[in-house]
Amino acid sequence: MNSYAIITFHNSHFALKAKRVFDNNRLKSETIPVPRELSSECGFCCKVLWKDKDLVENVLKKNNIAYENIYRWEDKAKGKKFNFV
Amino acid sequence: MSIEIDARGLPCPQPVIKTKEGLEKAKGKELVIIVSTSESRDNVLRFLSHSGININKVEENNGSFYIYTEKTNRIPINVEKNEYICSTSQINFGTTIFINKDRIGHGNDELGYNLMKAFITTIKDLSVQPKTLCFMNSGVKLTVNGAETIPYLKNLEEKGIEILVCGTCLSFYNIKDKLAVGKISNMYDISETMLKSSKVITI
Repeated sequence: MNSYAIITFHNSHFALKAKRVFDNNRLKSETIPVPRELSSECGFCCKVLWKDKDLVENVLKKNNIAYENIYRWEDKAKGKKFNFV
Repeated sequence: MSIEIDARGLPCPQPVIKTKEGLEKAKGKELVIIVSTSESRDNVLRFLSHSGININKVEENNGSFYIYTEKTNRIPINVEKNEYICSTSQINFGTTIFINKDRIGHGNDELGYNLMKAFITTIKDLSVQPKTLCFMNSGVKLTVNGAETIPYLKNLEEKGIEILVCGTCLSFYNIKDKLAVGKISNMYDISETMLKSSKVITI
């Protein structure tokens, strides 16, 4: 089972910027569409490994990238499950 | 002396098109057209009748239909597709998605790239699935080693979605040896796939 942190932003500019910053910091991340369970609006969010969550939060703060929320996403054998932190 | 046109097993309206080609070459000879379905037989007979060509006989033998025409010099009419009923079984009912660049839309490239990635990522979660994905021009860059889309495309391929990648385009970008997912394909396969699909979505 893999645990991920799903970081949502107020605006997709921030999501893309966050992805660039994660890349520069060699943090494994992916931009994915905001899951339907979280929002029906079009938007990107960043998916990072849950174990990197604190590191990621620091990097975001350091780079003045405001984020909306962080959710925990666990890949389970049957489908996906989102858990609020 | 007769010209034989073996159109057995060909999808509609190919038997009619083959018949037309045969008539163009007939030059006073008889034609024998062999088809494997009654539907193709009817379509060919209708086409011959519209072209003013008389039929000598129609025989059925071992599940094949043999249509014998008179000697003919006639120039066949054009094949109007909607005149010939093609059964739906000959149409690939699926949807083909034609990806002809490595990003979606025009404007900001970073946004376009991320939208494309998001699109490919999302397909696997949908209840409706495409039958085929065709990649051309810079779209082929999404199918080679190092592309972030690879795991998602591999996943789609495992689910049975056909992935056709333009070989010419891979060579052009000099990345043929890096292909990581899908099948190297050509214009024939890709255009045929699109024409056979009930729906083609160009991204």
